[in-house]
Amino acid sequence: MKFDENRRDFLKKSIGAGLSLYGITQFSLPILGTAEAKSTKPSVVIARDEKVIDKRFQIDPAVVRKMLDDSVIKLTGTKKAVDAWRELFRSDDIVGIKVNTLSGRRMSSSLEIVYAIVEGLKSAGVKEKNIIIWDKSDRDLESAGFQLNRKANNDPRCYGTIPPIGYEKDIKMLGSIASRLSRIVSHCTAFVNVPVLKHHTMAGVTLSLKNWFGAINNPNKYHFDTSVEKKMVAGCNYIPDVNSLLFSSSGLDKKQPLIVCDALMAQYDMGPGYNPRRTWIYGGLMVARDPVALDRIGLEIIENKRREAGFDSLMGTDIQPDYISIAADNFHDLGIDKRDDIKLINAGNLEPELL
Amino acid sequence: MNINRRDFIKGLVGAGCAGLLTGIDLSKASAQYFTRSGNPAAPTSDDEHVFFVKEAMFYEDMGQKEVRCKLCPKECEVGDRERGWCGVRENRDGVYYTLVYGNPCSAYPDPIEKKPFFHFMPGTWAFSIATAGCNLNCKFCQNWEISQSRPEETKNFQLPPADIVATAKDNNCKSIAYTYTEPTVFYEYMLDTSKQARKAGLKSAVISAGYINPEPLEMLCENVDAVKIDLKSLRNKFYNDVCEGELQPVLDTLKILRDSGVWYEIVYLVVPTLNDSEQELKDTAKWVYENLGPDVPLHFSRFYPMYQLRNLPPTDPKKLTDTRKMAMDIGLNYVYIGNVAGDEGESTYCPICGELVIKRVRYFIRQNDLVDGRCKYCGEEISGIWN
Repeated sequence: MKFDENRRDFLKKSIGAGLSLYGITQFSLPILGTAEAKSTKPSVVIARDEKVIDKRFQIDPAVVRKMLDDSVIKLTGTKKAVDAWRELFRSDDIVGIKVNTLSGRRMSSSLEIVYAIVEGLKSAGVKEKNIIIWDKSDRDLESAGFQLNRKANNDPRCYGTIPPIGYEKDIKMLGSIASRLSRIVSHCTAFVNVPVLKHHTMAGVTLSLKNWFGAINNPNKYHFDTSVEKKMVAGCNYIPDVNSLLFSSSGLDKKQPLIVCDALMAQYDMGPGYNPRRTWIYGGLMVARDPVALDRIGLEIIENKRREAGFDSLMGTDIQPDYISIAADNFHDLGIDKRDDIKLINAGNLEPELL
Repeated sequence: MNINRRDFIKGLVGAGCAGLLTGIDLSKASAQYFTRSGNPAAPTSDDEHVFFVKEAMFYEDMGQKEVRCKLCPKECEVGDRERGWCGVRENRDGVYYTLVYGNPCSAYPDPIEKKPFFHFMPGTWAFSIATAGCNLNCKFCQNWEISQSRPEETKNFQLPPADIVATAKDNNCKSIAYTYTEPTVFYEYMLDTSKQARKAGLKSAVISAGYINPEPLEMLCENVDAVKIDLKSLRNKFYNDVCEGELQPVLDTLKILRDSGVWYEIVYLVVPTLNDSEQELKDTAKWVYENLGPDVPLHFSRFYPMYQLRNLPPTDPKKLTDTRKMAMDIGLNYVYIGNVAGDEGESTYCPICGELVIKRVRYFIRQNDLVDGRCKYCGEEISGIWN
């Protein structure tokens, strides 16, 4: 099925119409542990398909859905998509889908991917009203094509922290971070993190770890370290600390999200704002539970593309993304960053070339 | 809501409302846009929270839609659709905007002594305004709920400079104070308001950490009458670790103020274990004496647990008393104690005859024995702006 509607209309018609096409309402058992959890190596699943996005950037939602289902099957080691989604989410979860919408329609989380995630959650028995598509602000969501919905009806909700949800009154502190958290974070019991595969002029790359800057009230305070010769966020503890604040036992101890990285179109330079001269069609999804492993692989893909395009490596620059390995240290313990310890799984019909 | 803004503020003040006005949304009027080119900035839904979007002063184009802010020493390099460290200045397509012009989140008449200014128009009221945002992040900040927020997190008034001036006059205020958060981040608003205030016969007083670049500071000094600087420490490490700034730009600011002719006073908050060593306090008093002279009022204030430093005890009042004595022994003429109500260190004494010339209790004047700015007992001139 070709998809040629504009994004706003798409969401209005699909999510707004009830999202019942693939929906199977079922209830899940408590999580028993994933196949990945039983393995010593974290898995990063890459699904690529040449038909998922065309040269006019039109995305086929049916292909996206298949790529996603195939990916979660591989990730969990189950045989059917519904079993995979049930293993990942409980039917009574309140699931926050944290999208990345800073960069307008072209370089934000794709509606089609979010739509497929919603269908997957529904197949696990999660009720539509307990699904919240969210980011920092209404403004960013709308500029990326999302249709806001604040009502507890039969559609997923969709809104920003501001306005009017806001942040918790008290600050939370961990490591270098002192922030107020989005009240959406406090409200949700589980998350799907939907970053976009792209470069960042201060962090090197912005993937799953960096995406959580959209959950705190003061990300502007954490883009460079003023106390250490203006060291960029790429080399600081800020990003790992925000993640620990949310997901470690010393922080809020929220369940580690499922990560679905939008790599349909990716950007290898001059991010995070959209720059059409620095983007390329990768035609992929990256799916994982380990944010460090996913970011390590995502960095490799961007580095390979930079090399191909004749750009310098990020390594050795002041935006070398050291925060990925910092996230893997004993203090943060957010995942595995050693390349050899990461299991790369192909779930697409193209080779998962890291280019 | 069609409430006349001046009447609103006047009515609120007249009703004896206590505390800051930090949560009253007066209007949902559409934002007005001001750019140098005359082309409007693209409005966004976030602009529901701000009433004016004005192109910033003091920034440079870096190309590729990136800008470098030149307002404060952080000199943030800001990509398209990103904000500076202060959180109130935003790059939109390579043009840098302030989002807090005419959008204070706090507006209230205060005694000028609350700032504190002890040598500037004592016993008068200052119409005091603040917007969201700060270019530092002091772990002891008393107003962190607004200083560490972005304008969309606060509820804001729609008060352009002319309305501030008119409201101040309506409430019998003799000055306008730019305070509570860090006025450097609402520089354009402060500058325009101070110009209009001067034309209307009102003075302007800036309450700042002094973390500002020389060029904007010098322009500001031409338009304001008094500046209070929070000198956080005389150690760069303290600025790094506790405030996320640097010491040297603040010292540079004090020297610029010294040479500018603007009245200025200094506050040093004494934080137990972090900046209260005898040596550091002595170094501070000596630096002030040697670089700024004996007549600059220096206030040593009591710390109370707040924000990220809730684990520390309040400053021992005896520590403040001892520090005051030490600073006066070094040669400073006007050394005060802050946040200890009723302490003798709240009052002004003639440096020549030692007589009490202004007795204060907390923010209020109980006795004023100055005559035309001179001690009525010995005739010594007391530094300050008294009328």
